[in-house]
Amino acid sequence: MATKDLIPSDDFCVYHQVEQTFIQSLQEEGLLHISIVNKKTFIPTDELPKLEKMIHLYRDLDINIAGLASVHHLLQKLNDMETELWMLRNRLRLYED
Amino acid sequence: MAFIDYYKVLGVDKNADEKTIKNAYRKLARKLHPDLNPDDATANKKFQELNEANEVLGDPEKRKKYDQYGENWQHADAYEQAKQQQRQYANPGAGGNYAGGDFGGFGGDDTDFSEFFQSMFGGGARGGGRQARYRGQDYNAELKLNLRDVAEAHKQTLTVNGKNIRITIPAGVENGQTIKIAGHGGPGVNGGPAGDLYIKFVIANDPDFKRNGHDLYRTIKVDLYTAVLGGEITADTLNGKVKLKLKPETQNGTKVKLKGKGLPVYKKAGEFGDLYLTYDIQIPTNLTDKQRELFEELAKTGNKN
Repeated sequence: MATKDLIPSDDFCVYHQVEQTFIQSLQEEGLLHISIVNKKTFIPTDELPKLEKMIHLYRDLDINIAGLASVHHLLQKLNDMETELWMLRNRLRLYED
Repeated sequence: MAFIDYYKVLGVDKNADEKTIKNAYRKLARKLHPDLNPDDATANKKFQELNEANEVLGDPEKRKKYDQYGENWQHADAYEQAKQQQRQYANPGAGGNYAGGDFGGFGGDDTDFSEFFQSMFGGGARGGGRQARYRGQDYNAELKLNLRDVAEAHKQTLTVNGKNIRITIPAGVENGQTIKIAGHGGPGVNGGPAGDLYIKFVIANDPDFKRNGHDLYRTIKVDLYTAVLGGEITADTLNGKVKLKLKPETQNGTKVKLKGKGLPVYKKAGEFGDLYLTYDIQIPTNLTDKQRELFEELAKTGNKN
């Protein structure tokens, strides 16, 4: 992964005014992938939308890390089911007049 | 522009204290938050109303103004002027000291608030004074297309929240597929980046072609005589007509594959699916006397099967 695809975790925390421990906790829960380069923590840019969503939920709704893990899991399930639903709908169209 | 009962939106009593309002907001927000209800336009709309209600009732000054004028909010400015004049008459020289009339100038994105809110309070402030920079909200939109629209890539201009966006619709997109247009969502808060726009393609059924991935299916009618004796027929594909040779004694329901005559494969230039044709052999109707006679004669020759 190129360096330009990584955001220093410190910068992210300052920008969003969140604690480093929040990022660490998400990583420990397996909710976020981080990269360590020269002993510094970086966040891959493709993880940003997911991370920002979790910050929204953490702040707006007071959902703790354990809650975020459950929400993340259920949203993932919902997303998979929706994909499957569209696939089945498209298959069903073959038999519709 | 209609009056909005923010107490009703939050489901609280008019005498509810700050804690009750905060709890009611949190409870409903957990149910309606857009991140928990992707693609649910009704939930997103309700969440917007909920935020607005919280913005007003969660702020003591705004709540005071809202409570004071309620359904008469349209006359708020006139009342203010009259009140000020009364005070000046009663206490000349003291001047008006009411400071509840100016809620404008908060900045932020006005489009997230109702006309009622903007008329009464001016622009909106998201985040309750928090200075963190938030990425803007992601927008979801649906684009209705016909099957033939996805046979080749084309550009289309869409209007999203009053702004025109020109996008390229890639060839071969699937019904229900979503593409992301980065940076065309809601504006960021406190200088944060804009959200993204997600466009879901909804492709209408085609009267002639059925689709399965990038393969297409079509049923074509073949007259009995050509099916029995063999011959040549013409069939429509998505991009023109093709001539097909039918072997003698072609059976009803026979399938043929026309390689590469299906839809383009998404994001794979030069690759195409196949077109499957099913022959639907037509039994002649309204036979003439002569035809009937010939069929009877034919029948007498016996059926070897």
